[in-house]
Amino acid sequence: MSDRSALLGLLFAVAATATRAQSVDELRAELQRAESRLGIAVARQAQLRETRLFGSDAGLRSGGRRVRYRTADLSPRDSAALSRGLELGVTRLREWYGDAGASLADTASLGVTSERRGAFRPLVIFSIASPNFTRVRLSRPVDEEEVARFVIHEAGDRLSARTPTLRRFAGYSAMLPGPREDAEIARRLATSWAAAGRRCAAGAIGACATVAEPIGPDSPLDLYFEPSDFRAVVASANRPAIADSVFYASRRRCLAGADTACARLVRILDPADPIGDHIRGSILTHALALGGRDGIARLLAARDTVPLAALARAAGTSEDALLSSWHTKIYAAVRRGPFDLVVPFLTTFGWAALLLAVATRRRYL
Amino acid sequence: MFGQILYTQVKWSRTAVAILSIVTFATPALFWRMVHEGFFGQNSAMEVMNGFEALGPMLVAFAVFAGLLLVAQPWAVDSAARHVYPLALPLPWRKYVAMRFGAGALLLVIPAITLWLGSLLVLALIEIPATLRGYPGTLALRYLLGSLLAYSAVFALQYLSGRRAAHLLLGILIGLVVVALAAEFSGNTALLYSVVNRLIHWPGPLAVFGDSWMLIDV
Repeated sequence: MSDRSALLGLLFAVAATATRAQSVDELRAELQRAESRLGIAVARQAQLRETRLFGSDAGLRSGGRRVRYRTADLSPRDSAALSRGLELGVTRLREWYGDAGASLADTASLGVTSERRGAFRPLVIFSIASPNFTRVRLSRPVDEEEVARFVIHEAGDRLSARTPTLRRFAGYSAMLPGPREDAEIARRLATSWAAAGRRCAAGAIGACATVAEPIGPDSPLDLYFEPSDFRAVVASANRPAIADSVFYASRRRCLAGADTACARLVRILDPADPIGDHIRGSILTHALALGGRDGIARLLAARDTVPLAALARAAGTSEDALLSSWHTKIYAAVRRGPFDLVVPFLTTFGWAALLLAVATRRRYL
Repeated sequence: MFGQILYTQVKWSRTAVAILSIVTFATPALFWRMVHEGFFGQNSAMEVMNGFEALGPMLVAFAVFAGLLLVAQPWAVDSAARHVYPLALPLPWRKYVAMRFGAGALLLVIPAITLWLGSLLVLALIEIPATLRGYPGTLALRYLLGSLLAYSAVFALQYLSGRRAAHLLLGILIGLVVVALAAEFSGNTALLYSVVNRLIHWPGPLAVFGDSWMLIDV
């Protein structure tokens, strides 16, 4: 047997073993194994972060909560403000959501870290962070309101982590009600690049129910988007990991205004979430507010797989009534009445009169 | 007597008021054209909002500038004549100052009206999505209140400190910049933000500047 024949035989043998057909079940099993390995890696990463974060030399305890920091980083005054902020956050959670709400923050482990940025103007940035790596910049001197907001935000993250159905209902507005957040959400809905978002803003409760469901690979696109939205969908969609020049040429044509190219691309791309977790977080906040002090307990006990059903159970009302009252609430924060300018009008005239009175008191030439 | 003082105010500051009025009339349309190619055609709600994103801060600057200009110009003319005109009037100083204040404040209405007209024009030219609404009247009224507040503050400073007013104003501005830089460099911005927030939100004196200055909103 010649060398050439031997080489060919070896190649056939390798090809036969390497390209064996895989069934759907085999692929699914492989995917599960990969996901399990990813889960282990993510858990290990979180553990390493926690070790790094909480390997500091000082700390304070407040109830079941602890905050770690380096002694050199925080003055006693900052440390006291940190402690007050923790208490304030938990008090607000208890006030709004009862003991179940406060318990979400009860075992929180937080860390204050510092990092130097900039060579020309080295600036020490202080952040408060949790092991799941929610991190916000901390002003100096430490503002207890800021710490309290972080504690509430962190509790919202913990709540959505404990209820897998609501994994996409977090964001900065979760559990943090306020007219300023409501106004921001109303504006985001009204300017959404998904037609369903805009219809929801216009008062169509069915459309609100649509956008409350996070968009997935199997979601019917026609429910969310209109053909006029396709350009924005293509612009914001996650690009495929492997794409050829035909794809990019088509994308360029779409962004330049070719509707047919957009319609074709929308079917093959993975569209980005049109409204985002923080808008859903606001529905969660509203449901908990309606549900009163037992709302969180009902939510944690709910076994619904549909997010809106779980939220309606927590709120103690129907899904439509929940969405309808949520819509009314967020639009009340931006709706302008004829008397909205009365207060600034009177305030400005008051200050003008005062300044005029001051100006007339002295003759200086 | 108020008529006479108003006449001198108009005479001394008519050019400034005319320029301000043209600028406020044209600003909404200019902002739209800077972001978009034309006035006609369909735009998404986000594109419409983006078209006027920077209009509010720019109008705040114009309002402050209008207040400054309408105090400084008449004072400069009066000062050049060594204040013979107000001292020659058969009026107590207090009454003269009040009338001068009223005359300047009345002229502030003109740029506010042209802003309202310019806003109405641009809203008539562009197509606004159903989820958004135009607020030309509210914006013009906010501009008027903002310019009145700036005018009152500069007027008080000018009539209290006389010729030293410009130096005093410059000193205040430099002081504010130094404080802001020091807070930023040392990382102690919380106190600064807290003070600014108290000033620009009700019942702070600058609350009118902290409100939303939006031509198009939800």
